[in-house]
Amino acid sequence: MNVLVLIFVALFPLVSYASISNEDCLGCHDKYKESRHGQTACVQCHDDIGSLPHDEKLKRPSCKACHGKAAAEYKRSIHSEKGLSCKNCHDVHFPAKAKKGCHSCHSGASHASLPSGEKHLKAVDCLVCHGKSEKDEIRIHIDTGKKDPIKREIIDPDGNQLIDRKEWNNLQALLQKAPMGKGEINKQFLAKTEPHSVTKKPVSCKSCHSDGGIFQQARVTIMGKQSHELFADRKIFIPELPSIEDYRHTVHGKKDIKCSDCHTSQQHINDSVCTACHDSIYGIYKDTVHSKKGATRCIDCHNPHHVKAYKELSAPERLSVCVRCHKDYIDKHEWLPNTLLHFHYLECSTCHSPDSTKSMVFSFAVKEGNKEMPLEYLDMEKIFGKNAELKKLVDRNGDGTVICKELAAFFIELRKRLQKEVTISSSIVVTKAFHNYSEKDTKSRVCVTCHSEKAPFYESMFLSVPEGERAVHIPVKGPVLSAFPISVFIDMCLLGEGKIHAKDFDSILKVRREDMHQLIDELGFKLIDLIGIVFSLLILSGIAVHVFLRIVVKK
Amino acid sequence: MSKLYLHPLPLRIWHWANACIVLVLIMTGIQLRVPSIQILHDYRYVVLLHKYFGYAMAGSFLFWFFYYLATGGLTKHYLMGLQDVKSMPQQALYYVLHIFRGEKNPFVPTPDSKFNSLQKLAYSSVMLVFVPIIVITGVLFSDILFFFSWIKALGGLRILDAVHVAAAYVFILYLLVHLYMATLGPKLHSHIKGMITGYEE
Repeated sequence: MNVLVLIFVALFPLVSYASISNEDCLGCHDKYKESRHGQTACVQCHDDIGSLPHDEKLKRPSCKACHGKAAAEYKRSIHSEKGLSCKNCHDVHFPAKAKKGCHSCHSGASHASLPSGEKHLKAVDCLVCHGKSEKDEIRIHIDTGKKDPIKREIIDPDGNQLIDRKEWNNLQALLQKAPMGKGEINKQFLAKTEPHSVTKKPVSCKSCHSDGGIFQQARVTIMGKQSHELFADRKIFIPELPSIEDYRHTVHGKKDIKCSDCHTSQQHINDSVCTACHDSIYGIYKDTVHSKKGATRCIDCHNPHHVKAYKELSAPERLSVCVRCHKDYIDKHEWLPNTLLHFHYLECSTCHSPDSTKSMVFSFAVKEGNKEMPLEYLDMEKIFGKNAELKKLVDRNGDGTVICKELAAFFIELRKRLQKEVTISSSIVVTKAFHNYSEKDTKSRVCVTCHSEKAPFYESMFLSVPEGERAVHIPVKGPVLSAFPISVFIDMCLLGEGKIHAKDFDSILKVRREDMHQLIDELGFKLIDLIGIVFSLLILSGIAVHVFLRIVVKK
Repeated sequence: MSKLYLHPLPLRIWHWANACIVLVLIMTGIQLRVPSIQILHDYRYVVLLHKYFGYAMAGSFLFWFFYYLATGGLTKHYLMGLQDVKSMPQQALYYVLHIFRGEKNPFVPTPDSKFNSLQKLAYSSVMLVFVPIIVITGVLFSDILFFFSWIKALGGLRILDAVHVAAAYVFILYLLVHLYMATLGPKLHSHIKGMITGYEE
């Protein structure tokens, strides 16, 4: 009996609703004929209708009964505070047809105080800033159309499924590259928040522009002949804001330059602020193509809030500064064999600022298969303890320079402690900049400018070791490269790749028998040329003799 | 003097196209290897020419290989038999001695076997060993990142570079002899003419 009562109680509302069907209502209210609010019956919302005909005045239906969570969020929102109801945005009878977006009321919102307003408003959902977000999403959609497909190995050569800044630079350059044509890149910053939680105040810039902000990794979709789904480092798309704490560690911060020394107004910083201190450099820069075209201010390349000074940046980091504008750099360097590979180890000004001092900068990396991962300070701390001063550990005699013995000892120690394949990677970067980057048709467009033992950067070598977030460059002295086993440097084609010269023939003719082995070692791969040329000459001589005999015999 | 049709049209076209490709590759290769020998003023074009003519060489090699494979020419003309090995001293003697006495070439080409034993040795080693080595290493260099694992497995970039250059020198040595031997026909230009018309005297 009890069970029957329970069933009756449970079914009672249905029985009650069922007594007045939608058809009954539509008999009078035929304008709602097409109305669809899910499977909801009219009397489920208009629940004060007990019988027909119903009272003239009905109470306002409550959305809360079904949409409790949204209603609760909405109650705390600015819209609720202003007295707006569900109906102001939703047409409850035709929810699919009409749903008012933010723009239907806020079309003229000025956002005057929002920096880079146009950029933000174009790509960022209103709710990212005006909602209570905890985890939003960046979606990057790239359409390569019917052009050549881009292989996954090219996009993500290290195969970690995550596009880092270097890989993004390459991808952008590839999208610009003919015959691929311009690939469309569409960036969207989507709110995944409860849409009813519109707040009175927008979130602070830090909510997005900081580590651990509401945006996590970006989801990259590449559509075209070959489609790929990958993730990308969010920092590529959302620059981090400087913090006062970080600022103290910057070059400017360390020199006790106050915020107000540069930020004298709310206006963007212009070059005159920088020239107050850097006037001699600006003297060189102001007559260059960059400056004359008015396209580049100091801060377009130099981020004064960046903890790492420009000279501490690695080659790919420097490259990423230039390619923000020079996206077609791969096309422009088609002549350079293995363009992408070169740009792993070079920065633009290695060639385009001939008067700058170039150096070979070594750093430690770990090899895992084909991947080469730079060793960060955190990795070093795990090995050498917290707050380890690597400079002191490498430079054992404390003379401020690194010699072969010191580098070798540290390298062996590192390999032993890490139990991994440690390698010394190198790049060629400018260490003393001459601020003229106008050189276009560079005369040094010959491989031996770099691929030669006489290359200028062998005169200036540094070891870069991480120290906290920064990198310290320690001068390297002496014959470091030749001292290491060939396995460490085998693929660094820059080394010892001397070209054959007349004096090499001379030296092999004059060499004493006991020095022959040493000379052959010194000649290295040049020996191939030497043997090749000698054999060619022998064959030509043989031909000459043959020709001579043929002429003599014929006579 | 009777004439024999030895060189079909596709092979003649291939031969001269290949000759042009080889010429460009050697010229640019020399400047790449020793930049002080300036053949072209702009080094940029030297690099680009070497790259694209390198691709052309790869294509040219494939054409040659599959043409001979399809027509059965590889076994007919290039495969060395015991008879070839035996005839080698006599053939060599002809080139270094008997030719000056006005003696006739001991080898008479036929459409079924157009190369003498020394030619077979030279052509087969160049076309089946050295050219493939040059082409394969060259293609690997065209995209080091893409072929990285192959390059590593084959000994690394510097080793492959050395192999590429060494094989190229062998090719040059062969070419010097080949060019000279082309003048050893009944007349100075007989073989060259034969490679244009298809008929050898």
